[in-house]
Amino acid sequence: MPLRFAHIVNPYAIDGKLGAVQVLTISMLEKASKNTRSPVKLLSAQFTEDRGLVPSILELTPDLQSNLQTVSGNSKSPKLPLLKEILDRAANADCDFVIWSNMDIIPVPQFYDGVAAILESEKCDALLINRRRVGKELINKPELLFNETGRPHPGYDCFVMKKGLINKLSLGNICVGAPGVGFMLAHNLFLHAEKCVVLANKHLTLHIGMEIVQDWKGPEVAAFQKSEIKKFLADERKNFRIEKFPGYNLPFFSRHKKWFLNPLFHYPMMFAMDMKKLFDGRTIKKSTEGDSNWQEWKSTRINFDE
Amino acid sequence: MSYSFSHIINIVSAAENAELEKIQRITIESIRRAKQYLNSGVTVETIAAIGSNSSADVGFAERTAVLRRNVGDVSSFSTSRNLPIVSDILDEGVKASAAEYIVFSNADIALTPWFYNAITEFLKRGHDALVINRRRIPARLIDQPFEVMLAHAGSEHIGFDCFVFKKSLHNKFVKTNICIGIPMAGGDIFHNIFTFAENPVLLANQHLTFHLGIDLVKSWGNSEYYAHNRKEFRTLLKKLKPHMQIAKFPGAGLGFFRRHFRWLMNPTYDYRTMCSLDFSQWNSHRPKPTRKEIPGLAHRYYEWLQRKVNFREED
Repeated sequence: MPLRFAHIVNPYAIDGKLGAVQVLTISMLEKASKNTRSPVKLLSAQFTEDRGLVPSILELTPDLQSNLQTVSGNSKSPKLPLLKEILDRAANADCDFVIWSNMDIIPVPQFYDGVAAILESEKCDALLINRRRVGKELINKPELLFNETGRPHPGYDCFVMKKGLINKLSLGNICVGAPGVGFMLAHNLFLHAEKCVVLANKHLTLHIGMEIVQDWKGPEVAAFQKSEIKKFLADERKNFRIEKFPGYNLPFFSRHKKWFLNPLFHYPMMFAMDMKKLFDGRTIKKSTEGDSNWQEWKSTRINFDE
Repeated sequence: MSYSFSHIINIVSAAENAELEKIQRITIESIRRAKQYLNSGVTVETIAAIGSNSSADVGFAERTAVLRRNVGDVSSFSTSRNLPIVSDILDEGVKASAAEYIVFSNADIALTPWFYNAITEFLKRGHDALVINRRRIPARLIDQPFEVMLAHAGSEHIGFDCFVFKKSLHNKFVKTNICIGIPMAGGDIFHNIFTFAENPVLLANQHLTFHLGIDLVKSWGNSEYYAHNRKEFRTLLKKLKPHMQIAKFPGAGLGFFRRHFRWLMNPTYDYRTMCSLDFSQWNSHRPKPTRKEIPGLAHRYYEWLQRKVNFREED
């Protein structure tokens, strides 16, 4: 019996239109949903004023009621939707797994079959998928989009979770479209999922544009998001288990380097959790996805790009 | 406009090479899937090239090309291995072909479903030949479903093992006795393509083919066969050199040190040949390298950082 998916996205108007990237994302969601053995429902969570822009391939869910302005009480804030409200729209969908991804995250045609196969092979109830970055020129060449391997990106922007997990998440008022949303959902899944797997080197989703770091929405929004994360960490800190985090089985310096440098982890918390269980008898594994360091270094230096 | 491809693949039976035959089944499945995914106007026939005594199952292929000799018939070795000659595979495959373009890939190189559609798009852009680097994925995935292998973005590889070219180019190719399964195999097609094609391109960062096994370098065959292939390769380069134009080769448009470093370090290139061509054709017009989308040191730092902080699947 194939796994059933509900994939919810949040289309929004930019100057009265969806814009080229959202149009491309939606057309590729349609392509992927028709190219799979799994039944896929494509859902839209939208504000009332954007309802008319949503293409018919997306099934409309009730309009979003809250936004950053209403929860922060600041009418000058951008009108960003709340992640909790978006995911709630999919909580009762007829499916086994819910997928949420940003509007600029483009699935490859084999996305759903790939996700289904990985869920079954990993026997997990949640996945975090890192996107691949591809060049901006490909927005006008969608026929060449999927063969482009692109480059990895450390951010989480496509999430797959067992439907039953949605009601357990504590997302506060975290907003979509601003820094921190990936941190919040990822940590919720590390907390509540039985097994949450990070897919950092998969060719499943693409993002047009090679940037790694970007200034989003300004310092006020960032401060709001940060305060939501602080509240969440203060409430849930004691419930996290270090063994559910990626990197747990890496050698000491290797895992701490990654947690320290990666903005998607709160290093003081990771450090404290790890120290408490430093001698818990974990199996230390060295990453084996590569040839010798010298050969890997050489291959990146001597290969020709197109 | 329609595009037709004959995909030549040299396959083996389990009796000949059990390990390769297991991987070859994945390759054949990947070809079947890619053929189901063809855009309108794209047609593909598969040609199985097999030795005359081989019992390999060719049921997946529309046509068969029988190879009448092997490397043991052209040279003597202390240990006999029935390794086919690359030029024979192409000759017999091209004879059997009814298409405009030839695809040749090794038996252990699997295709992504969009392979034929994507190569069509590159040909539409005016290229008459493509050389495609594979992506390496972990060998532990061999028993996983095909979708899991396909979803893996893999790592880059410097070797050339998948070639696409206009059939009419084949008449110009200089034939050699280089045998398959030993280093230098593929180097002959690569150099023939970059010598005789009008507008060849190397696709080094495409997810079009993948190979199970993360190794970059491994010792193939034995030194006797390697010496044979090296000798044949040197003879080939001597014959090709008068026709070679440096501007058509990958890297020709890069800065001096960058291109020489790559030619020197990459075992597919014969550095002496590349160096002498580069100097003798110093004033030839070179293609300009594409500009980086985000230039600058800050972005280079972030690229370095993301490599260091990203987790791998098994972390």
